[in-house]
Amino acid sequence: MADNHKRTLTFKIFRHDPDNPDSVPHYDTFKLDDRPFFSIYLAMEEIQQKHDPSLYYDICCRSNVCGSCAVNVNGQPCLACKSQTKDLPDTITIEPLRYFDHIKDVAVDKGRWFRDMIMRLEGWIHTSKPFNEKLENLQKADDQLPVYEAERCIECGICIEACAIAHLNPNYLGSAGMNRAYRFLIDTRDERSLDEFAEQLFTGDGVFGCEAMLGCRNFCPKEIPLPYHFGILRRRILKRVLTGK
Amino acid sequence: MRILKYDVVVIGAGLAGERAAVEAHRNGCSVAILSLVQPRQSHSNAAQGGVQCSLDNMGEHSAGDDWKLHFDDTIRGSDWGADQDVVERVTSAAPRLIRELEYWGCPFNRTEEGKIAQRNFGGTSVWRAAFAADFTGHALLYAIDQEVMRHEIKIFWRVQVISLILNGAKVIGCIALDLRSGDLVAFHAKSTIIASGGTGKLFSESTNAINCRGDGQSLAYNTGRIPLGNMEAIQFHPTGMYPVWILLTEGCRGDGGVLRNAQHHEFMWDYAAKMGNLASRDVVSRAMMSEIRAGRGVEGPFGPHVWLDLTHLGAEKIKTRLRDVHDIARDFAGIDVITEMAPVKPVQHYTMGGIRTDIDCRVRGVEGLYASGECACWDMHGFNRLGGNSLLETIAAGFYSGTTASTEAGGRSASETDQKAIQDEYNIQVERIDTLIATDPKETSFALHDEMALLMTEQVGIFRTGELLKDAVNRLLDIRERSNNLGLSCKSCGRSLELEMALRIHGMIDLALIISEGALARKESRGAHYREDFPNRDDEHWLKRTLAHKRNGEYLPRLEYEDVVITHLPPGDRGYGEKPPPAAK
Ligand SMILES: Cc1cc2nc3c(=O)[nH]c(=O)nc-3n(C[C@H](O)[C@H](O)[C@H](O)COP(=O)(O)OP(=O)(O)OC[C@H]3O[C@@H](n4cnc5c(N)ncnc54)[C@H](O)[C@@H]3O)c2cc1C
Ligand code: SF4
Ligand code: FES
Repeated sequence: MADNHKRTLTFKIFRHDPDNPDSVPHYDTFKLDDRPFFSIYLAMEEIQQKHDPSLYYDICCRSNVCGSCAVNVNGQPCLACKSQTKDLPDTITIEPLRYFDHIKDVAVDKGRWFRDMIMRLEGWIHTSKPFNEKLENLQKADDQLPVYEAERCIECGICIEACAIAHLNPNYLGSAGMNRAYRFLIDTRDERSLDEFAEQLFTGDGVFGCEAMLGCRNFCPKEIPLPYHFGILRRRILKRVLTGK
Repeated sequence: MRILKYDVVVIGAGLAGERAAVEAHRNGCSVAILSLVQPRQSHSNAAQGGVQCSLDNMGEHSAGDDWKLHFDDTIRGSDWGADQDVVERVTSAAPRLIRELEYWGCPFNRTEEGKIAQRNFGGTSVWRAAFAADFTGHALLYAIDQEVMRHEIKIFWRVQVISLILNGAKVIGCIALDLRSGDLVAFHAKSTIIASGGTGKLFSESTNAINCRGDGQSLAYNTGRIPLGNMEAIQFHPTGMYPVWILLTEGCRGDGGVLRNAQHHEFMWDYAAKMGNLASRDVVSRAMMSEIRAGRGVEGPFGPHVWLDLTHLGAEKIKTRLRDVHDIARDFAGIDVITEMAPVKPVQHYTMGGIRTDIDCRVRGVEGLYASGECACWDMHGFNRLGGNSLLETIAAGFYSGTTASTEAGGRSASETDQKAIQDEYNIQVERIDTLIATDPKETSFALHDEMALLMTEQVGIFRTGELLKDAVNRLLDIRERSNNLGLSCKSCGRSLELEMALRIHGMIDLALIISEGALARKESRGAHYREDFPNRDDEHWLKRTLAHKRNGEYLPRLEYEDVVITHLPPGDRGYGEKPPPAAK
């Protein structure tokens, strides 16, 4: 099981404190021995704790469930906890996600973006039914499954980072936004019609912004079928716009 | 000094904190939630397997289930350490509270009829755990957070609460460090709720997230007025995936997975004749370690382990109901659980003990403070928590603490002396940080932490003895003493992981001492607390809860004991058919 690489890894880590006017963006280099089960997260932890205490990065669950640790590794967005060094070359460059608000070094704030997106979409169940404590809403298993599939998004921001359109248009909802809209639109418990999403989705900031470059699909750590969700949303919206149905 | 005023301030944005905030908001209070991380990153999202509630939706598999059966299972699981009035309240409210989460949008798996589906779990007499595949915590947290957003409840993240503000015996808020700017902020509140989660990172091998460091327990203990209950009751989960210690849910065994030793023998039936692989976690963890001690573990580069075998379940079941388990094993250990067995070992998982509260979640010893979730000792889990009961506790305690805190906030008004109390506490914290920054480090908090956490795993783990515990206490005292030499090499206050850790390491070592001292004093075995030198449960002397109080100027706590509340079910046999583990050679 143990994949014993006997090699030294060179980590080049982006350093910059945007709140300090004297700070100049640069890369610091650290050398660490590779080892079985070593990951980008473990490397950053070791560097911060043993070599340079001023390094700042985000980490939480360390198991691909919270989405906090997304960074660019050798130019590609990924989760630091999930990226194992055995899959990487000897020189590894770690940079922050460029799309989001930069905090320091490789940490960014994604919370603001995701909360704004959810407020725009009113990302919660809209229903006129009162709560019945004796019986839950009935929902077919076949209707639950696709909702769950979309709900698995951990808001890591990787699909947004990987999307060229998002970088050009700051209002673009991106795959994560579209996936969230889809999650509520298909949920049999949400009474909203497609038209009620029109203002957000029937525009260049919504489904008409996507140019199908598929960066999102290639990188989503939860392997959510984003283009598929997107496709369904787009088909329904086009049909609505073109035929009125 | 920046002072922000709210009726209710909630420390923690996990399930317990957010559920409390929603309730307080519903009752008309102004509410603020404070969290280290963005709310949806709180560790509740990592809960996999399910949440217990007696919906009885599974036909023959859940036939006859009701709150009473859930109550009995919980008390047996707790090894009679839980307060039965609390357990009765929670188990009877469970169906309503979980249906409310469904109403808010949680995508639970469904039965044929479209009701919430339930699965089997350890230590339960019927299929009772409602689940959303193996991502239940994530689904629940997103559902509650949607409510927080819908009501536009104020939330601050990237802040670390570093002390409570007291005016006499009344808690009037807290001081928080804005982790981005490095500024201190005072929160002035009529009611304060602590919902800051567990203490997993006291142990080097744990399924918990990086920030499960017991901050809330330390905040309360540091006031010198508040007792911590049953801190020695630490749960070790049987199936931490070796060697990265990421959890593989109990749902794996609930759905038919089995444990095997090096000879591929399904050993659990040798230890728990009635419940086998689905005995409670303490029983299964001891059995696994006994196999390893007897030389029937599998040797590996990171020490010995046993196997979790899911290969007979089939790809279909694994890819739908255990999908994240499948992905975790593949991504973090390179194992395909459809065709290969996964290496597992018991590791720290859950903190049963915590800030002692009454049945309405009021913290003992002070006024104006409430606690809920894993940080609290309410006490619904006693000496062993059943799988799926923790998610239930977070939601129930969130509801009750939010209710009590908001109702009582109405009757409180700020006193003239509050301002001075806030200023005094603020000054103390400014000075504490200034001193750290002015001192060059002779010790680093990370090195002290590693030393402590390894010691806890090795000596305060599944099998405990008086000798090992005594030695652990002595060594922890030394580590605690050395923690006074802490300083910082990084001299800024904002965005400094070094400062964040330096502000909590003393508290962490204090908690480790409380756990070890409590375990040393408890000369019996109950639930997850197993003393090889006292292998039996001793109801005559120890049907009691430990309460640890801070002693002025000393590192070791003063231990006190109180009776457990027993209403319906007197102490008896747990019903797992457990044989005591063989003594160590
Ligand atoms: C891997 C795993 C799987 C699990 N699976 C299950 C399961 O299937 N069923 C079940 O019932 N239970 C399960 N549990 C247990 C359960 O998930 C937790 O006990 C529960 O979610 C804890 O919730 P909480 O709200 O108390 O705390 P958390 O969700 O841990 O939240 C704590 C909050 O407090 C904040 N905080 C902490 N310190 C500070 C501070 N100093 N200042 C400001 N904010 C602070 C954090 O930012 C966070 O928002 C599992 C646990 C783990 C680790
Ligand atoms: S859709 Fe995938 S890549 Fe995008 S934020 Fe969600 S989990 Fe991350
Ligand atoms: S730390 Fe949670 S996804 Fe990486």
